[in-house]
Amino acid sequence: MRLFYLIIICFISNLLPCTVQADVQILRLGIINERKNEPDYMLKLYRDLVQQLNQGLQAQQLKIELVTVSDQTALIEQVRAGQLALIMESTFSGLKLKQEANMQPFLLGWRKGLREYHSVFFTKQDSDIQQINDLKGKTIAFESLRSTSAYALPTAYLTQAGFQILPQGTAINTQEAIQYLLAGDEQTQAYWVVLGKAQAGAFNNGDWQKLPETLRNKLRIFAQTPDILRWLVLLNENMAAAHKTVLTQAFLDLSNTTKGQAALKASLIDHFEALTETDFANLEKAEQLIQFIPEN
Amino acid sequence: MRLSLKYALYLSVVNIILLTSVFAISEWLLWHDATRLENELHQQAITEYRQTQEHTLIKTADYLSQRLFNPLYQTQVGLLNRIIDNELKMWLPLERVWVANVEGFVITDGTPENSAFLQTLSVPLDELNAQTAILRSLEHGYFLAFAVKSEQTIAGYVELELNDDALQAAVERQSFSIASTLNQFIDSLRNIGLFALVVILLLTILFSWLVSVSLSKPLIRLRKAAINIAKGNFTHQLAVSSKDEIGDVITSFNIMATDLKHYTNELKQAKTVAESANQAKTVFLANVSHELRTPLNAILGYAQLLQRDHLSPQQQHHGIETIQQSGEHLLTLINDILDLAKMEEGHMALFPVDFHLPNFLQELVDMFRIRAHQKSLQFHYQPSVTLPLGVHADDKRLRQILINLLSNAVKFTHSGSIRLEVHWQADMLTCTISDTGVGIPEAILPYIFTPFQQTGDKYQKAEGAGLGLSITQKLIEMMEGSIQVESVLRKGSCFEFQIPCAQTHYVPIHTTVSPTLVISDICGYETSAAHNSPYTVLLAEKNDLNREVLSALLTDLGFHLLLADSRQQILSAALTTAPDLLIIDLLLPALEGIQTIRQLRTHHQFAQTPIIGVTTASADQPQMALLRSSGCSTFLYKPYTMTELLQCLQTHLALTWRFHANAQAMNLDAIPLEVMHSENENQHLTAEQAEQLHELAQMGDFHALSHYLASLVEANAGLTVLTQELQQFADNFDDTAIIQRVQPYLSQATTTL
Repeated sequence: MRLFYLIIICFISNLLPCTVQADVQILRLGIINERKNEPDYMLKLYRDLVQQLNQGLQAQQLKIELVTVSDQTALIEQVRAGQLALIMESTFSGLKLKQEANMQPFLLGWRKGLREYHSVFFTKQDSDIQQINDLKGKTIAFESLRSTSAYALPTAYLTQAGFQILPQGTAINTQEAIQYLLAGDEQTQAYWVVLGKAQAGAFNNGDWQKLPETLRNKLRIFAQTPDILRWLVLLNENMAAAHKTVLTQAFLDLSNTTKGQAALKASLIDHFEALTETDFANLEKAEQLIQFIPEN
Repeated sequence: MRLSLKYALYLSVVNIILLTSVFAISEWLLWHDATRLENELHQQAITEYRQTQEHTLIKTADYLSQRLFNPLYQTQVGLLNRIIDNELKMWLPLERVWVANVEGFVITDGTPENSAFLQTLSVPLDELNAQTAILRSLEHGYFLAFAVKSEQTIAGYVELELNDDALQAAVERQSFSIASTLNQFIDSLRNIGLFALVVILLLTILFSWLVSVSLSKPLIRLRKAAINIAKGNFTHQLAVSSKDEIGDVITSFNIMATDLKHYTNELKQAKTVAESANQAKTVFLANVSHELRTPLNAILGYAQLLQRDHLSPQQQHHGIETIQQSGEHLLTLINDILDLAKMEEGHMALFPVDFHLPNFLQELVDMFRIRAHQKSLQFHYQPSVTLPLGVHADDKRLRQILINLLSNAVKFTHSGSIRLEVHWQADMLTCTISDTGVGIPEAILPYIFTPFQQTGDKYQKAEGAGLGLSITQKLIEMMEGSIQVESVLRKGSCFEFQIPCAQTHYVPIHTTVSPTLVISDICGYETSAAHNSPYTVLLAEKNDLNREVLSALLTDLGFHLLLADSRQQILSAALTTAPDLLIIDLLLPALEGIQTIRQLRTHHQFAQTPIIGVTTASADQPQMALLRSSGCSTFLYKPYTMTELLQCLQTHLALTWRFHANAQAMNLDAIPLEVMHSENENQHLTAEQAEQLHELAQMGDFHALSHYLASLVEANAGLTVLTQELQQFADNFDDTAIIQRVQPYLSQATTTL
């Protein structure tokens, strides 16, 4: 009888390692879909990146699955529900998740060639706007409500400076408020300013450099916001430290391989790097600005 | 080189040249047409593509207007750029795109630089607003401009320039496809053509070979056949395998071979006949020599005897008669030879006349009945009851034929009888002469009509020259008749001939035989009433002997004779003495005789003077024509008899001969014709018969008379000739002639009574 029990125990003990080895932990990466009319845009954008990350995580029985959500609210809800382990977002959006869903920034990403950026306020060359105070009673063109550099940062900056920012047509005292329009994209912001649909516009300094020269020559920058980090990777603060380490290493290793570099490029990201103290200080300043972002 | 190979080579070379030329021309035409077709299809493709492209662009303008309305209306340049990048540039071969706002200022050109920003559109806005779209063809593409509007709201404008790279590419693709298809088609045609050319060439060579073989094969057969014929083998006949020219040649060759065979056989036969004839002629010459020598011996012998003085008058008379008979025999022999020569040379001519056939036959019968009686032979004459009275034929030649055959019958029959049967039916006269003579050996029978061929034993051969039957056959053939002979040796022979002999109307009875003048009986002449002096005769005879004989004869008969032997003498004598008649030998040297006569005729006084030309009977055709045109009144053909000369004198001088008193009865001109008929006893009508016929004729009952004549013939065949004559009168309702004809019998009856 003892021999029988021993055999059973040995059999079960042989099966246990197999079961443990097959138990890969899924880490869901949440991303907001930037293009509403292209539901799979972000999936395609980060598919190669996730695949390369999983290559690095395979040995640690970790696997990242990409999850797209429609907006920041949905993202916060899913983080709170424990369905998302990590997030990739801009500074303002990430800091919002930190505040409301305990997500912790642990890596920064160079995106579109920028490690950090700031928003510039521009107007036509022949405009009488010389400083942000001149924006009173004027209409400014932003990209979209979820844009960090073309909405959140400039509106927070202006609000912090004491201006009232309202959607066009909602201001009662149009001479005191700054009304805004959403152009949908940075170029349209600039065109609208040139064509007079708006008197000023704001987006990040990278987009300014990308404007066509003919267009840019008709504009001038009259103010800018402080710099903020361009792109953040945030982790659930409850994630195991070992996982954090493994993930950190996996993100950092992407730029070490050709395939990883190609995947980064396909994701409009240059590379990831660890946050420095300065970066954290910058994030603290940015957190202060967030409170000035107008509620929509 | 063999003929067939040569033909095949020639035909093949010619066909190859022709086919290659045809192929080259076809290839050039094909290339020319294909190029033209390719260009046409290329232009058509361009046209069709442009039409399609223009239609598509108009539709595209409409679509873009809807697609760009909202972004343009909201001046969403970024979205416009994305639409341009992601849609327009994907669909259209854009060379330039300008999107302008409602004021007409370009807000984006779709490039990152947007260098056309705020430029003015090239097309006036009014024009754009008035039309759905403006489409223009550029040198290398299209220009398309349209207003972006929805209903009445204009959001902006768009100008597009589309390069024709796509057009060129499409057209090139289509042209390439067309060209490729055409080239494939041409290649296929060329390959088919080449294959067909090779096949046709092979077939041509084969056909050429077959044609050449078909041409040369008959020629080779002809060559072999010609070689066979050259070797004397005429039996080989070529099979006619076709109905074309080759077949005609083979047919002609076969005919030629057959003819050659025929002519060769004929030549052989002719050679045999010629050799036989030559042999016969040699034998004949020997015979003739003997024949001539015999009477000549008699003539010369008796002439020598007559020179002696002691001969009694009876011996002298006998000697003269022997000389005359021998001379006549010689003359007959010479006449036969001359007749045969005439016939062989084609100089013998027929002179058909109307004559009384029963009388003609009766004269011959009378003649040979006497000869037969002299040899104690019976002579039976059996004329057909259908013999017509009048017929149309050459009576002289017919008489010659019958005399020859009857003479032979009498000559070769020593006992028994001779029979002459005469039938007439359908214008064909048939005479059958049969005898109970010696007959003809079967081996000789085929040659009895050959000239100079004699039959009978040696004794009999000596009696003739062997020309009689030959002359007879030739005369019958001249008359378009035929003669057959049957003979059994020692039993007898039977000759039968048929000649065409048309019936004519009644011919009055007259003698066809001139009375024979016996020179010895003539003692002189009586001139015509208009001439009371002796006639003067000019005799121009080159031969001295003939001249002496004629001189002696004519002088003896009382003519005044002038002699001449040259042209000059003739003219001189004639012009001096004006003779009543001239006898001129036409064979005087250098045609002097003829030319002399012509010259005489030019003188008025000799225009009607009788001139007797003396010539030979063997004159050829040109000479005969010359003689006829000489101006002679008549001709005497040498050798002529004195009788013929006297008859000519009698005719042309209208004189009357005077005879010795004991010879007056021989003047046949004075003898009534009726008396000449030596009718047999059974050819007489009885008095009763004559009276009956006389009475029926007077009554005019010709029907009863015909019945009566028929009954007379049935009762007595000897009355055939007479009854036929009477029937002829009855058919003509000539009662007077019947009465006159039977009158002698009535008188005889009366006298008898």
